[in-house]
Amino acid sequence: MTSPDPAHLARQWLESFGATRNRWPEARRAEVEAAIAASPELARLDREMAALDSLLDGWADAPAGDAAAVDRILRHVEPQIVPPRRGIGLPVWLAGGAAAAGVAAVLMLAPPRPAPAPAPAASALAAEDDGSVEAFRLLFTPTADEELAL
Amino acid sequence: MNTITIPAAGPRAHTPEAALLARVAAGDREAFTRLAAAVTPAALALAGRILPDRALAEEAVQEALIRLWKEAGRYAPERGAFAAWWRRILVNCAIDARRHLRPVAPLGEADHVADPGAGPEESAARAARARQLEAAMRLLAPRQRAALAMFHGEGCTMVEIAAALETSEKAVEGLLGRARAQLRARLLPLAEDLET
Repeated sequence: MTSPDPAHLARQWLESFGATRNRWPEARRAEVEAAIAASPELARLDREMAALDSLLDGWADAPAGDAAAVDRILRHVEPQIVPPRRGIGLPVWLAGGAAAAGVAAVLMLAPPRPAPAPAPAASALAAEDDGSVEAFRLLFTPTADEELAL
Repeated sequence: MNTITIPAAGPRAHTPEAALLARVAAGDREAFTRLAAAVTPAALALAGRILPDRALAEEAVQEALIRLWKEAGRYAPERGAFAAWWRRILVNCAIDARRHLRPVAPLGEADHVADPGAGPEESAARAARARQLEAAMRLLAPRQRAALAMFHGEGCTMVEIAAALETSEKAVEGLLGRARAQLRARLLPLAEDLET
């Protein structure tokens, strides 16, 4: 990549860093200054940027925080500073491992559950019809008219 | 910034601030109080340049100090100086606070910039310039204003600004260039009016 010519660099630096020379990168500073001196257009930009620098310098001279403000900040922050909680000294991975081992031990020592009774066959349900199956059919089987509407 | 003279203690203590920070990371409240007292005045000045309102600047510094307390254990001196680490926390807090603001707000507080020792005409002109500057500053994007605050206010290098904003030096140059272009367009015609 070729380096930009001094006039191009002068415009870039003036626009980004302003006209104060010691804010410019040291490398090529002399070349850039010469380019500004040789170009009326760059010289005008230099003057404009110096005027802007002057405004910004006034803004930058803002005083540091006064004692009352500093005190206010510290008083506000102090109650929110809570020392870190100290656990029982176990690292997280070790505590997690101990918990997992505990759960495994409980599962192994628990008495086995009785096997669930087999579900009755559908035929058995039909055979034991006490009228409830018929009532269910009556309630939930759509009539021919209802089927048409669906 | 206040100077702190504390003997370095431990491998992390490259500076007095870093020594205090190592103690803060271990939960030492007294070390935190000393460190906070040392860094707060300068922090308030920087936050005040990024934020248009003193109350907001104070809030941003408070938030940054709380983060300092919580994140002290994450500071690694081999990756950079305490000042850079702290600046990044502070600037992030100020930018976050600035993002919650409306772009345009009342300008009354700029009046205090007037020099009480100056004559009435000069005071009025200074106050007018300060108000115009503040109004133009309010229209800048938060990161543009932060870059200007560090470059013009703190005298930071491009490397330091890039570290604080977690971006590249080239991007910082762009932020400064766009910020200055906006300010130039808004302020220079007014400055000429004031001079004539």
